[in-house]
Amino acid sequence: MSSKQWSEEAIKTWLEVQQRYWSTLSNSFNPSSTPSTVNNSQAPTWANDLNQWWSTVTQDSPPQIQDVLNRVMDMGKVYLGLAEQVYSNSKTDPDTPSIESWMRSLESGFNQWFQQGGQPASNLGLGQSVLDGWQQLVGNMQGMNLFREVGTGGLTMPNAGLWQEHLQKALATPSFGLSREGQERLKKLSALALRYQQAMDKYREAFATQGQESVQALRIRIQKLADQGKNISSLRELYDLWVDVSEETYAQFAASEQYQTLYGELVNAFLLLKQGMNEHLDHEFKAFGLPVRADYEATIKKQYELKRENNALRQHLRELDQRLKRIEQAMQTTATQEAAQ
Amino acid sequence: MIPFNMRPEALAAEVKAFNEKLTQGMGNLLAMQESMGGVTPHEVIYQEDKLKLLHYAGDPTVERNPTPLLIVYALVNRPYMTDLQENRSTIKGLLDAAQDVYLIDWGYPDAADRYLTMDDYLNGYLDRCIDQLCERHQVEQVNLLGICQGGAFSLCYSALHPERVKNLVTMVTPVDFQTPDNMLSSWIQKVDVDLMVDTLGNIPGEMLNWTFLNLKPYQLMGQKYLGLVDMMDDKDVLKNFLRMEKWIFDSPDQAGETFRQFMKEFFQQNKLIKGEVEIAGHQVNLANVRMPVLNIYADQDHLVPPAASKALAQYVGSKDYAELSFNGGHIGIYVSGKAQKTIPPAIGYWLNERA
Repeated sequence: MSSKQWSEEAIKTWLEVQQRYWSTLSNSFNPSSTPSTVNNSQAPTWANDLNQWWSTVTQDSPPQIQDVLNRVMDMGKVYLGLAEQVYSNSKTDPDTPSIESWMRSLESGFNQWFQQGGQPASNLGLGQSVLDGWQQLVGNMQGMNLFREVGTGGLTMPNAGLWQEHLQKALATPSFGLSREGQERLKKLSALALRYQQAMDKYREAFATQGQESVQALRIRIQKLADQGKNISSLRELYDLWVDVSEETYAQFAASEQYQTLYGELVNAFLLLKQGMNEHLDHEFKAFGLPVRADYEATIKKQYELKRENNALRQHLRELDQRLKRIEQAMQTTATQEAAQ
Repeated sequence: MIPFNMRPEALAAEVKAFNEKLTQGMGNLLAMQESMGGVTPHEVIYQEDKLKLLHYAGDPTVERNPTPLLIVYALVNRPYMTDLQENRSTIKGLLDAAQDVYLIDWGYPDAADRYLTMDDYLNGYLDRCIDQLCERHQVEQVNLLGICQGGAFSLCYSALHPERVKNLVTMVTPVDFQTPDNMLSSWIQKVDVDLMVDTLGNIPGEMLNWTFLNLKPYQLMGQKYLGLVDMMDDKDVLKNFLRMEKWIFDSPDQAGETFRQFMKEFFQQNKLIKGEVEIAGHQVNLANVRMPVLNIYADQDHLVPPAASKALAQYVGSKDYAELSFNGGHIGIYVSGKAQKTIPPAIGYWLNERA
């Protein structure tokens, strides 16, 4: 079956399942309808349903739209996660619907993330995408994938075993020459890894704090709307307000001197670690007699200098050529004038 | 109690509607072909290393400005932003405004370009492109249109070689790199740029992209995609969205040494307005920019705040200096319908008046 056919089939199936599900759910709101297959006491699992469907569709989606699809689905899950929580609460007490418990859950997510040293929090809401971006960047850099999880675990964290295992694997490359030198290099590298983790921890803690502040700011904003006699009357309205308030709180944080310092330290600590890894790998390659980064860069630099020299010579030649043409023209003019006389 | 006036059945109905839109729109999205930027017909008239100098073909019956217009785009991102699609093309607008339009496509630097400096870009590549145009048109000068970082490059070039630039147009160009609202500049202040270049060589485009997206992460990495679900039933809108998306994530790596100089001297030390930038042993003094200057900025630019661009008025040596503000953002100035109607015609008119 071709990719396109498969995708169409997946969409058709999903649509049918969705229609059945929603039809059943709609009936459940009608007191005269027969009992539905949806258990009213159960919380909906819309985000999870979307995720399951998506995990089957994504395998065959065309490469040119895969990134967009992933981003749509990631945001769809955040949106449906919001819907689930608000829905569950409003089911419990339909006459006094409230989003307070959803906001408490968000605060609790940031709080948990702050207090448990970066263990993945259950609910960071919109904030998750900011951190995912950094981790993806780290993971995509050559030789740095093993440090991707720093900030969601780390050396002293509950999932430290996994992290340490990665680190040990990286450091377990065979040593040559004096053992002492090798040990010192590894110690230096470990210290750099620790510094990176500490920088990541500080960044994460500050981010979690501003996350909590953003929830409080949202609470105040909604209350202000209520005081003005306005009500939030749709999920999308709530989502958009959540984005606006989160963006405003984040903008204040990101423009602060505190952020400037945290950002600088995070990037610098990461670069020092990457530099340490480069040096470590170079040393090992050198021991095997393989060319290393410095050799490669020296060649590129030499080539670059030759090219510059070549460009300068070409330019000089062009100028000489132009001078020659001017002299030839002047000589020709003189010869013509002499002939005329 | 926080007021939220929605009953469960209304909530469920909204989720249902969302799922239906997503499911129905998914068919359209999956059927989309890869979108290509750069729609206006053009030919490559000069090529050097990764650089290509493009000439755009306009209506041959139109009498054009005799001075060729060279667009100098930033090294960051790709220049097809100026020619994204038929009805969203600054290039097409400039052709319609009777300009003879050329554009430098810097290409995608790789490891071989790690040592390229600003001197190589300005006194090398850009200067040789201008040679090509002067020879081709039998003129001594060109009109320059610099965009964003390309605008800063154009300012430097015009200050170093004022005799070669007849008129200068800068668009969303940073000049004062340390205005209080410049978040990018704030972030870079404590980053060890030497360590970055020494460690990474060329700077990955992905890293820059992550930085740009983090300026407005909740909108750019989240809300935008939820908004897409509302538009997925319209194939044309979807196509436009994908074109823009491709451009946003199409980020070339940055040549290490040029990045080093630009970040340190422009962002960290703000040397451009101090007259302290040095290229190939020559100081860049904005007072030398004496040709007519049109400075265009966007009122809602989150990357290059208006104040960063407007600072040019204080430092430029030109007696014929004008500003044009656009009520929109850094990207909208090239692609919005409003921009199409106002910006290229205004540039064309301004240049033709000074032909």
